[in-house]
Amino acid sequence: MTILRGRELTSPMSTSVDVVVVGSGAGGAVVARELARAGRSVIVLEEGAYHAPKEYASFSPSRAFGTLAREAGLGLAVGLGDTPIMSVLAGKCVGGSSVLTGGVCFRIPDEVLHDWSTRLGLGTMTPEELAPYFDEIERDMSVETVPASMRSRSTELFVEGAEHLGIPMKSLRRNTSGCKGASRCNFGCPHGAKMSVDISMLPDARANGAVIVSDALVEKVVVEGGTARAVRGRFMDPRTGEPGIAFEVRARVVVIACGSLHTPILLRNSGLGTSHVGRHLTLHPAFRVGALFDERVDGWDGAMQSVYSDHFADEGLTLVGVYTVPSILAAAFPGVGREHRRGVKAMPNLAFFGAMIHDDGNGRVMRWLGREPLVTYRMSAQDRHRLWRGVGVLGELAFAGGAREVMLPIFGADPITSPAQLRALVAHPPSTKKVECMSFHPLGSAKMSADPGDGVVKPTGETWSTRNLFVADGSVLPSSIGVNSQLPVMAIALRIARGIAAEFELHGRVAAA
Amino acid sequence: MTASPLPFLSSFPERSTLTRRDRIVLRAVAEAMFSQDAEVDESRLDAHVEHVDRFISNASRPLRAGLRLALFVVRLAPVLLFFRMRMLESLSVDERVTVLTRLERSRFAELSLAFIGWRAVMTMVFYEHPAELEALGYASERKVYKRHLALVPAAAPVPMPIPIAIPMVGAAVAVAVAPPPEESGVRLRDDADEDSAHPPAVHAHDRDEVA
Repeated sequence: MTILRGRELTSPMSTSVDVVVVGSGAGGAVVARELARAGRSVIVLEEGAYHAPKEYASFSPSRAFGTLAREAGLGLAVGLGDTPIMSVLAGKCVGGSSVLTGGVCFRIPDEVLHDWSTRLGLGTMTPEELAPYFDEIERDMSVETVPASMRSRSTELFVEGAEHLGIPMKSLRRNTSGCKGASRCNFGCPHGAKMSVDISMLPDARANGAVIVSDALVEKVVVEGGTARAVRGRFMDPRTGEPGIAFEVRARVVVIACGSLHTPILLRNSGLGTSHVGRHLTLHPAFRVGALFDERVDGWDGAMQSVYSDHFADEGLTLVGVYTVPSILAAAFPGVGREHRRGVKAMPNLAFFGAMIHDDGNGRVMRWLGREPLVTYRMSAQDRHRLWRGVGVLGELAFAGGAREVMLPIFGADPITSPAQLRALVAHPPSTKKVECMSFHPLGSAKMSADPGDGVVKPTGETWSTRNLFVADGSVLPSSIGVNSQLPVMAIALRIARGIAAEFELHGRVAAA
Repeated sequence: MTASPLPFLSSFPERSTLTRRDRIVLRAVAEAMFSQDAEVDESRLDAHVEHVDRFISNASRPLRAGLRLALFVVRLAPVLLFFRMRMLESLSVDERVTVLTRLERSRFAELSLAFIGWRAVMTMVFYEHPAELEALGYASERKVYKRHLALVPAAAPVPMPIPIAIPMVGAAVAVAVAPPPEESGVRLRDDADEDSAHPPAVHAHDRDEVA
């Protein structure tokens, strides 16, 4: 795939196209491909750098995070009240977060869509309406069920525990083709088997004439007479990582797809901040439990994620099998010195399993010092209850699977050795601030609404405030969905792109007026 | 355990975050974390500090400033927790371990997070060293499906490749050889698999492994 690398450009750039797409992740790549296929001239501007997928195999985890992730993977959501600080992982590279996901694919649950189409008044957001878009994306992204043979021993042990407790586990679906089970999905697939959009969508967009520019930081959307006309920004300097040479791209349609953390920042920097921009952020707080077994587990040997359980979906919990490379797991181990080393040495005998909260907490994205946003999140009382319920369930699964010790996601806590200890802890939990929590699905900071007073974008993806300015990423989702968000983001982006293509002549007339 | 070259090309080679003083503190923390019994070579600890600096230098300026502030809190831990007028780096290794353990378990979450954040970064970098991964038995390629295969006698017949007939234009029939399936032998748990009464197949390419 040919990429124009902004860091190699030595003079300012100015150009005009039909459509400019800001961001090359799951949302932006779909829009770019679709509109390029429709015969429109398209340019994609990506702040991050481009790395050919074959390079991922040579990346260590720290190199991958430093190169492919925002804030080198150290991004945080600051907890307000009795809320943990959460690490928030988001991509900053050509392909965006799709390069860093585990590839897990879910459709938006029917009950969530029912809520959107009834209570929120988004009448077209129904399972029937969205099904064709999901079908198409699933086909193009090679979404397949993870075979049981790809399960790691870590996952098998938790599945055995679940069987003992009568909790059904199901095989996940992921966008893979030829997965070899290296458990390294979070660092760019070393085998090119994960169909991230830099492999699946952007080459197609490029083949249809789209131009993809990396290292291009968009700083402002130019709005004239209530209509988006252009974007302005600067290319990143390859040595310092700071913005340098300026560019401007004029377009008849501007599509923002920077993700839930940066779309609101760009809107605000462009003077387009309504009261809803940056609010309503949901994070799907996630946590994991470790379990020490007598047998050797080698949990990295198998697919990083292969099973899940929706048995507790009514309680706002999804259980998801997870494992990753030793250095990342060791980073969360308790202790110092000999004690920590002892924990790491036991890693071949450790299994892990995770859970994710279908949250109704409230987060916010704000401009702060520098280019990265300040993200705050206040966990609701209900979500705290879900969190401790999840910790209890995962601990029970581990003991039922034969674990000798269970490591809970509580900073500074010693491992527990019996279900009775677990139940006592969950009955009287410590401060939630001490819980190790992560987020991989920030959503909803520029949410879709049926009424201009309730959100940022229309059901078509166009902003209520500005003509010809669209948002097509996870920020438009009007509520938490309780499942991994890559596939939903892509399906909704496809729907938005089809709408833009169908109405393009109208948008062109508005732009010319 | 000695240092070995760790290829780590920073995305932005001109960026650096840690001052000389920061590096001294970080090295003192690294020694307490990973070399309480002097099991790690001095040069590797030095390289580790450099590696950590390059890694965090990919983050934004405010985040890097926050990390430096957190490191200052760690440095002050003997004062904050034990009222000893000494900085962390001036303590013996065992004293540092005691202070950091207390810091980790502090009831003030903000204090403990200053150390836990640094521990996470340092641990991630430290344990991706090839020697550490090797000691854990980590393999970046999957091998368990071979380990779980049933043993077969050395004299067992080698399964023959399965011929497949492919109709071709301009020729009667072409015969291709189907490649053996890549996966086999692991315990299957899906319903469809559990219904199967057949034992796991052993494929030609696995024979060397089980032998």
